[in-house]
Amino acid sequence: MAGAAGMTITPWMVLGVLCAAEAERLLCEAFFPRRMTGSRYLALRLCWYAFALLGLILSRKYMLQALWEMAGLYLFCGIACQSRRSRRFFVVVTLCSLRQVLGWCTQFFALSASFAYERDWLYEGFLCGFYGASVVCAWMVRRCHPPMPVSDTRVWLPVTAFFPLLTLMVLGAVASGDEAMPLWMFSLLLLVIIDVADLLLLDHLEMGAREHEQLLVTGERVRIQEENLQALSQAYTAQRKMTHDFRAHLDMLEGLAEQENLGALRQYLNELRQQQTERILLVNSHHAAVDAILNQKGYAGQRQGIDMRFQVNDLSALQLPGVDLAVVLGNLLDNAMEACAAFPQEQRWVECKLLYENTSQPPSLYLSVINPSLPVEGPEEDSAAQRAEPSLHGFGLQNVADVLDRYSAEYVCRYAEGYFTYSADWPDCPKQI
Amino acid sequence: MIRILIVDDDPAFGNMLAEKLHGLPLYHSKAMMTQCLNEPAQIEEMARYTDCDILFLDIELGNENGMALARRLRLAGMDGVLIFVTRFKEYAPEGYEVGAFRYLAKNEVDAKLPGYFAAALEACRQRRRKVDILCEGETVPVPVGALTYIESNGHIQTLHLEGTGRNTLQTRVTLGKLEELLQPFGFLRIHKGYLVNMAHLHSLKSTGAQLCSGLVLPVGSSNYRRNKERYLLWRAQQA
Repeated sequence: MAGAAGMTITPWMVLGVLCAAEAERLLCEAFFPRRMTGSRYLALRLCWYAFALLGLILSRKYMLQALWEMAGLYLFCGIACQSRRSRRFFVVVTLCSLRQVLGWCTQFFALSASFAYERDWLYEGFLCGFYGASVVCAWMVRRCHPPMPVSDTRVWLPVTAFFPLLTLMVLGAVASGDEAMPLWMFSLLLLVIIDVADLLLLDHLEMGAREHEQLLVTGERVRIQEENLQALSQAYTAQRKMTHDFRAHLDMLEGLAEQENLGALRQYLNELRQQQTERILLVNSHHAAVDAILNQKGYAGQRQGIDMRFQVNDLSALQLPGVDLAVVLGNLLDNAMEACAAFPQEQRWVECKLLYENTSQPPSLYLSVINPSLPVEGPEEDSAAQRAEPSLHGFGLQNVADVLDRYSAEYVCRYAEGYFTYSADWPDCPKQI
Repeated sequence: MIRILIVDDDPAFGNMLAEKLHGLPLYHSKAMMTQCLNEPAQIEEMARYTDCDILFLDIELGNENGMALARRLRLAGMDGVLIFVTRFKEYAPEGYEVGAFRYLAKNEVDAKLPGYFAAALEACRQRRRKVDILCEGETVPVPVGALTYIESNGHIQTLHLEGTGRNTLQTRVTLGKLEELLQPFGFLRIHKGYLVNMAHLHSLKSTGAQLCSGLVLPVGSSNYRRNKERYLLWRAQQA
């Protein structure tokens, strides 16, 4: 077979390109989670190998081959894995540069060894060993470094742009083949080491940030649980007090009945009816966890002068875990009440609907919270497809979205014409999907 | 003329509420017909008052339960706006089942009545809305609330109605024009051949749209996400 420059392509070259392509694929998957499986993924892999081989046939120039390989790996990675463009660019440039550096070093040592001992097989054996070792090393890295979930943060964008661009420049200088090539080669080696260290450091930092976020989420959930526990304790205390009073009233009524004093009995009953001005439950949906949350928030809202309006149907069949209900309802109602505080008392209201729908399969819980609100900065609409920054509506909305996403719930949140609305269709699955 | 019925076993409170309603600047008192009922015998004849627009109903009517009374009235066909008047609020499934619009606490009448009454009037207006559609050569005022869905069959569009004299009407106005006309009234184009009144929509899933009557209509996949978001927002805004 002849290449573009008329040079013969040996089986060793083909093996080298295939091994390098496989090693790069494995290393890419060490940084980015894969989104394709099965026959489609296999087909894509074959395309990637073919693409790499085509680069060998089309050009024998190092720089052109390197750029061809980068473009192919970038495309492959973009299709097969979940990744952000900037990070993908960084990883691809680093991997291709690493491959070039190691390739040159190996060829140098292989040629030196074969010349020194005047044995041709030494060269081929050296290359064969290198190709095998590169795939094994890549496989081990893939095993030891599981890919991190794709992060939305753009804080590291300058870093992920600066280093790969610098590496590309040095790679170009190396490929030019001038007198200072050994120096450029050494610089490239150093840069590749720095790039790898950088990538690992970025992963480490993002993992730290993610853990910190998880800690905040857990803290928020603990706070909501504490509030619910407090609400339940208060309800229990009130119930005990009323049970105690109820016994005293029964004793009194029994005494009056024994005396056959019907007039006094009637009068006592009327007085009881008049005095009964409080009830334990503001909301009674027949679901203990929902009632605990809604009553606690309802009374808290009333104390703040907010007109708390609820619409509930029979939720007794609801199987969603209480913890998730507490996170969603607690955060939504807290945000709504907080937004209302900016208005005069007569304009403060929160409307909350919780309606169980068991005619659909699976059954679902429809929930909505609507309240007057000052204009919210940022995107007008937030949905499962288009999520707003959590800082815009308080940290709680991110928690709500996280919980709803786990159930593949459909939800929408919007600020329009002075009102903030959150509305969701939440499949009733006892275990999250 | 708007018909308001106040049902309370305490005549003094009922009259006071009527006076306050007439004193509100939201609606001209001459265009408002208010009636107070407080005798148990009168309450028994409630079926006669099923055509009222707004009903203020006390939950504790002596020996009678306002919630049970509301249920009977709904069964008798009363579709007016129902505001429960109560000494203490309790939001429960029973209230939702009878379509309670608001709960007005007796000790909050001064503060809450203007806002609740304004919202009730708006709900009444929405329920009474009609749109003129050219059907079979003549312009027909179609009550928006009664129109459940519109089905397209080539050049003919069939309007499906509920609770009116005719169950269907046919028009040659295109579905696109009808969508434009009816979208502000809560209609959703769920499929290239179907336009649905969201007030009659029980659930909207990617597999189909179920109407309150149980009928399942097909749902187009291309606009499903946008339609679902519109439906969720619309539903949140309904009283």
